[in-house]
Amino acid sequence: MFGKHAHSMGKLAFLLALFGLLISSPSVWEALLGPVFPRLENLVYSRAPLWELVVQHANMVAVSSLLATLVGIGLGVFVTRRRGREFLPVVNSLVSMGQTFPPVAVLAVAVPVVGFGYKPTIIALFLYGLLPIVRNTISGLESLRPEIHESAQGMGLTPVQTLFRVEFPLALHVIMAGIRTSVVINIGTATIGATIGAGGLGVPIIAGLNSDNPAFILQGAVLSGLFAILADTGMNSAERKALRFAPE
Amino acid sequence: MIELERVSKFFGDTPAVIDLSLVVEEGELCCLIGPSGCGKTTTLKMINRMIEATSGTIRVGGRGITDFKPHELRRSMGYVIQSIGLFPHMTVMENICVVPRLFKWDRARARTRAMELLELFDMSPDGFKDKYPRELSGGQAQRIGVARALAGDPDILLMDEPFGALDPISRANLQHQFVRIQSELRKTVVFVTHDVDEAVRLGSRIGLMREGRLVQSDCPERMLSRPGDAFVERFIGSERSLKRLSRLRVGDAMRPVSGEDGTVRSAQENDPAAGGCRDASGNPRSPSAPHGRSGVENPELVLERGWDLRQALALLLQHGKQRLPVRDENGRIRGELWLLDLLGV
Repeated sequence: MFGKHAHSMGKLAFLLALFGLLISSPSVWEALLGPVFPRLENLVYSRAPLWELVVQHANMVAVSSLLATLVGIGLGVFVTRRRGREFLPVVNSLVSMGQTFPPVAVLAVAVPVVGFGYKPTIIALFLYGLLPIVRNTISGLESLRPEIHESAQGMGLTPVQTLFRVEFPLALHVIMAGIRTSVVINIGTATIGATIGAGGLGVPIIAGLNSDNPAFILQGAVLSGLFAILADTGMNSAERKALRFAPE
Repeated sequence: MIELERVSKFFGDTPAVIDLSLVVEEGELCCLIGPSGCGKTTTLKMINRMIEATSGTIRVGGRGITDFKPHELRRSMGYVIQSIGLFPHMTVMENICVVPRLFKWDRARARTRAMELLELFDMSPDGFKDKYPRELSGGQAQRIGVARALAGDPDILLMDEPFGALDPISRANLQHQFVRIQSELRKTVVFVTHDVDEAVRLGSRIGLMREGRLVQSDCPERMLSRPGDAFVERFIGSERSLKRLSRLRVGDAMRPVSGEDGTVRSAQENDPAAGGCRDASGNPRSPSAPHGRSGVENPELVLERGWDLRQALALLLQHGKQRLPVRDENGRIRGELWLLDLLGV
């Protein structure tokens, strides 16, 4: 167990270091991409510092994921209560639609309403990120054996106390996995924000597409990919730590 | 004290409990028995409002149960179910302390109480307090389930076939233990079971239900010797006299020992050659020779003073014995139980 833990911490540290290097040092990019694209003049996207794009990107992902988590867990809890159970199919459909509807299409619909840039991107990312969280919250909460509910009720725990002291700790593992999935997907999806001026790691990708510059595209793609892996590894670590005091 | 006055429960148009009136006095252990679907579990669950009665009144300690909020009411009662329902994410200690925590006891007081309860159930406190439910056997888990129900020191205990999921040996052990604990704690208990033997062994009162109605409610001795009607007789079953034996303890029927050193001469000592050891010259050895054999032919064939007569009879018959020694909780021989004496019981 300790070995596994040390291994993942090591992996995390390495990824962080690599990421840090890549966002701070244009010369690393030149060294890496030079041999690949010998005839390209502009190798490194320079209209904005890479770290600034990362911060914009992280901001969009963080805000939309936070909203998706709050609303998603809320919806998941609601439809697993007696009063909300009849809404389960409706919520399921709505949330699935949220993921089937392409985020680009959401942007197209949202932009005329709320304008360009940050806001419509957040809306699109929020809708897109709901499904894994709602699904996993429902699944986690429903997986509790019925006798646990019965004994909790029989002992005199109120429904709220049962939710926080019994249901959530036992469902936490599954819910966190859902949040992690949502966040990692959103890191990739957030690149579309660049199409409407929201900034983020999609910017070099779009710039590269516009000016036929594959080096730019690579930078945006590699960084967002690495960002996703980092987030996945980091959140996995946190999940495992949380599991230590909620074993199932 | 629990009073049910003309209590009925309908699920839609279907009656589950009809016009049931029952009083369970303080300190009584009332066993509700009856065929499947007779309404015994529904009745139990109406007492702590897990199911709301359709009509009638239920009073606990003189006050109507609708005077309390359901969760307040339930905190004042212990609730034990067949599937146990321990919280998997909490240790044994944390599980037991759930209700004390709800009562806002400070940690030290809650911990002490948990340790006391573990001792009461013959489970080493330090050994068990940090274990998780998945590490426990069925018998251990249900002991913790009962301990958890007793943690808040409720006056009333509601138990729904609590030992039903256990193997026969664990079930017998837990029944014994529970009888002993109940004689110390004197809780007011309503115990649902479909096992007539269990009801006869544990209950100070038995309530037999059928199709939602209470058919007969009496102490076990009277129910066994004077069943109210054919249904009661059939449900209680045959071998009523044997069942009556399970109400009595070995200690009550044995012949006490008179010797100062507490030894009882076994049948073997009267006949040294019978099954005894012989030495190299063929002479019978005394049974207490350095062979390691004690005065009793088979160390297992000793009765415990607290066992019931039905078990004692089974052992006597199984080993073909006229009598067996009886020892107390400390292992000292206290007397002998004679088969002949049992026939007169």
